[in-house]
Amino acid sequence: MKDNRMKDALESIARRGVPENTNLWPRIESRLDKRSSFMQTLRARPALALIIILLALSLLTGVVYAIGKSLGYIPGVGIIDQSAPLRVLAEPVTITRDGVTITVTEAVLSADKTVLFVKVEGVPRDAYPSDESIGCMGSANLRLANGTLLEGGYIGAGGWTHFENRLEYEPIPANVNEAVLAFDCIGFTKPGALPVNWEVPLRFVPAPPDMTVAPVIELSTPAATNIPAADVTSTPVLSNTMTLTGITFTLEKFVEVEDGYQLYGSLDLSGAALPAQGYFNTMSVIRMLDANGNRIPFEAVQSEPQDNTVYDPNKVAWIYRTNQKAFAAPLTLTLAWVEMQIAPRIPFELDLGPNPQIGQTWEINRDLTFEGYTVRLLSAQLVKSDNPQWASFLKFTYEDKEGGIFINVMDDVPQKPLIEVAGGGGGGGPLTGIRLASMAYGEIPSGLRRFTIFSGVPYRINESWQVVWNPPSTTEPIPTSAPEACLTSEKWEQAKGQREALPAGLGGKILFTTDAMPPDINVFIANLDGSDPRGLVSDYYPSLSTDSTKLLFSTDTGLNVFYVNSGQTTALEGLWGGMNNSWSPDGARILLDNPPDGLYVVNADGTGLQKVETGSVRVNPIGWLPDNQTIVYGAQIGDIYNLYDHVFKTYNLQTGETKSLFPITIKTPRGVISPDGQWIAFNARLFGANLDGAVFISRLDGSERKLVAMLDDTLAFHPVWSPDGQWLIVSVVMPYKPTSPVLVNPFTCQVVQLENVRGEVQSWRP
Amino acid sequence: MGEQQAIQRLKNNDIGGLEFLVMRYQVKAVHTAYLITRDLGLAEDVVQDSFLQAYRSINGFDAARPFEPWFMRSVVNASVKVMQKSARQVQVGDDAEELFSQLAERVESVESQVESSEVQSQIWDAMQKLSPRQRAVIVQRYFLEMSEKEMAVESGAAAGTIKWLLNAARERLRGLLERSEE
Repeated sequence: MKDNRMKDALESIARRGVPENTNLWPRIESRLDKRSSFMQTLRARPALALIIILLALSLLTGVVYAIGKSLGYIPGVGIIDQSAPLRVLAEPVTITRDGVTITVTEAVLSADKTVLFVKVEGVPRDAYPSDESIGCMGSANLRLANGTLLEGGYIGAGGWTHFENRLEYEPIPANVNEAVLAFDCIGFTKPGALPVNWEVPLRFVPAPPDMTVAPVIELSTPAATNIPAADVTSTPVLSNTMTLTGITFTLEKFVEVEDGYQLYGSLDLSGAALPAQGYFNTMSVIRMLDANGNRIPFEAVQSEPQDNTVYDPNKVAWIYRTNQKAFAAPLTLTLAWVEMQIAPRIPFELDLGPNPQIGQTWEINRDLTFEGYTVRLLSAQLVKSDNPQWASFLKFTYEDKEGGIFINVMDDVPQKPLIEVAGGGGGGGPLTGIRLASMAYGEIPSGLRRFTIFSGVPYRINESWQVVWNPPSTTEPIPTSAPEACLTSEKWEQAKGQREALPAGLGGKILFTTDAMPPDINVFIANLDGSDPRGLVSDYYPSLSTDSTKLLFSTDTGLNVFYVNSGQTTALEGLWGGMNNSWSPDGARILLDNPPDGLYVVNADGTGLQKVETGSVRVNPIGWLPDNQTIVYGAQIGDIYNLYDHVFKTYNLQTGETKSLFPITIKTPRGVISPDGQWIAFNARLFGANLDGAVFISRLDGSERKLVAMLDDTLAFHPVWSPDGQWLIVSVVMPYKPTSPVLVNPFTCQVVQLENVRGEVQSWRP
Repeated sequence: MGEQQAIQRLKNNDIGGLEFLVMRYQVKAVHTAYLITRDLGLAEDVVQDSFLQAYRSINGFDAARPFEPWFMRSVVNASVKVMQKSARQVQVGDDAEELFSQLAERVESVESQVESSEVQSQIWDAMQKLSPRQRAVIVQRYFLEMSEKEMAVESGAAAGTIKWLLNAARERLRGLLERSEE
């Protein structure tokens, strides 16, 4: 059976049955857990927002003030309202069925919430679907003695045999001291694989007097420092809140925790003047500085629910934690920008004439600019609808040159049956290119039609919101500041602004991948300055040989070698590779990453496949040493669930000797060996770095470790060495932007933006 | 914004990342689910659930891997699951293998015509007569264009099992198409 023909047939079938304007997002968004989602994405609904704000204000005048005086903090539980006596679990309760043990280990009942901790042990691996399909949902409810059912808990952790869940519910009335935790199954497990219909009886008692509840220090909020945007000469007296362009950044309270402080604050967007209806997208606290101007590392707290007693659609809460308690006070938190997702609307008219026909096309060729993002509306075509409830579609074709810009078209005359939005397109295609947006009609539309075309685009407000915090004094010594990375957000911004030429003597070819998706070609080779780009193949994880003549890439039929000079491709029959395949320096062999099996080495022509027996439960290939005999890899330490502890190791293919280099903490080790084999550049976790976005170099024994890149709210990853081993290219990922490669000299810390390359650099060759 | 940025944002609980992924994959996902469930409403429900599941479990996803295969696997499996639950599938008889072998050699004449709407209709009808699991492997192989190796890796099944499943589904489909030609 010819695969592509079958695909075409199936696609045609699917297209006939599924409306082109399928848009599930509104329904998905409405089903998201509001407690966690509203803090990040707050779709503006002005009327509703006003009602909620008024409600919130009415509550704030009385209730919240009183609550605010009795807040406490319990690690793992979060901020609680202590206005009523706290209660806890009388004793842990354990139930074992068919080898699976459920233990409710702790409970905290406060005036505003109920939190349970449930430990699950002994779930057999084979209870989970072998294909990791969804399985049981694991909803867990709390049935109170008075018959009330509290919903919203969840038990499960896909694939794990032992785990703990934190369940949060509404408060339990003070006169109810018994409840049953009821859940039908353990989440993610196969139906019928484990006992079902669990019931765990719980009893609550007053909290012991010595229970530790840390005080929550609320900061008095003075009148916000509101600086008119035009008044650039004023020097504000900083406080714990600042309003600029109608956006208020506030530090509200803090808690001392075991190894530092947690700072709680908010960003209030209610006064922001936007060019179009929008919703909050993201913000960046680019730095926390002490009184001496030294940077204080901090991280966003993800594990703890926000203190969201009052829902406000225009306000986002944040929690940051430090890993130290002693500072040169005061500290200044600076918010550099706020990004909104806005939906500008553009009116548009199209005269279809008195008697338009199915199949008729109208050429348009007009640029539409949505707050700086331009798409070109190419044409409209009237097509017959296969959906019986519609007679026709007016299908607009447009070109998205920016990438990721989708338009939606609405006829200004409401259509019946009412449809919300027609638009979209994409669905696996390249990020840029020709897209479609359609409008459905119950009849054949005719005459002059007026449309509203809108598109969701990012809109960033650059300001400098600053708040100060005076932490409690301490006798602890102030830690010395960690060395700053060569590439920071500030240095990157400077480099982008300077448009500096490439350093003298630097050149060669780079192999990079773009955001285009297969089958579009997304692997390119170009000069270092981005000139003379040449599309090669389509793959996510290509590997270029040291002499730049051979490119290893994957297709759905297996591994292939693309010969760069001739353009010919040779399949390596029967071979498959993962994400980190690499050529030996002499180009004679290939190190293959073949999860979950492990590492393999094969000759360049695909013969002589040899498994590398590392003895580790999970390995990630790094590369080769210049001797062409020694491979470097990251090996997980401990059992397979110990995800973050790894050690870099070498394995000599001739002798079979394995040698440990140094440990690193990261979920998936990635790295690259310098051409002289003396250095390794790698990503590792670092307090204050976004995700695993800190790039280091060190000697192979781990000595002389140096922080090369660490950006705020931005991921720096995939370092690539220059042919002379003196420079790195680091790929930097910003939301809504193509991946941006940056040149960094890890020894001198010189930073140069590669202006004309958009994508992830995979290799740098002479 | 690229896929990796979207996943990074989603891992930071920023559902703007999910919106990007929905916009990018929803059409293909609904097509996939529809081909298995043959019911648009069911397909949309499956895809919504799959996106919500992705949202809940994204922290367990290795961002270095491409999102699409991981996500489409959920869609395929959820589609099969929902069909098995709803018991909509037509039971296939034990004579399927015999039928496959009898008709396999005549399949080439059908392959040359798959572009025509008539043959598409036959494929659609024939798909209905496959079990949900057989339908799923046809969709994975031909619509999602997964290799047998990828199907094996994604499903955690042995490559031989996938090959057998795929062959069984393919042969049955061929047989059904042949029968509809007669």
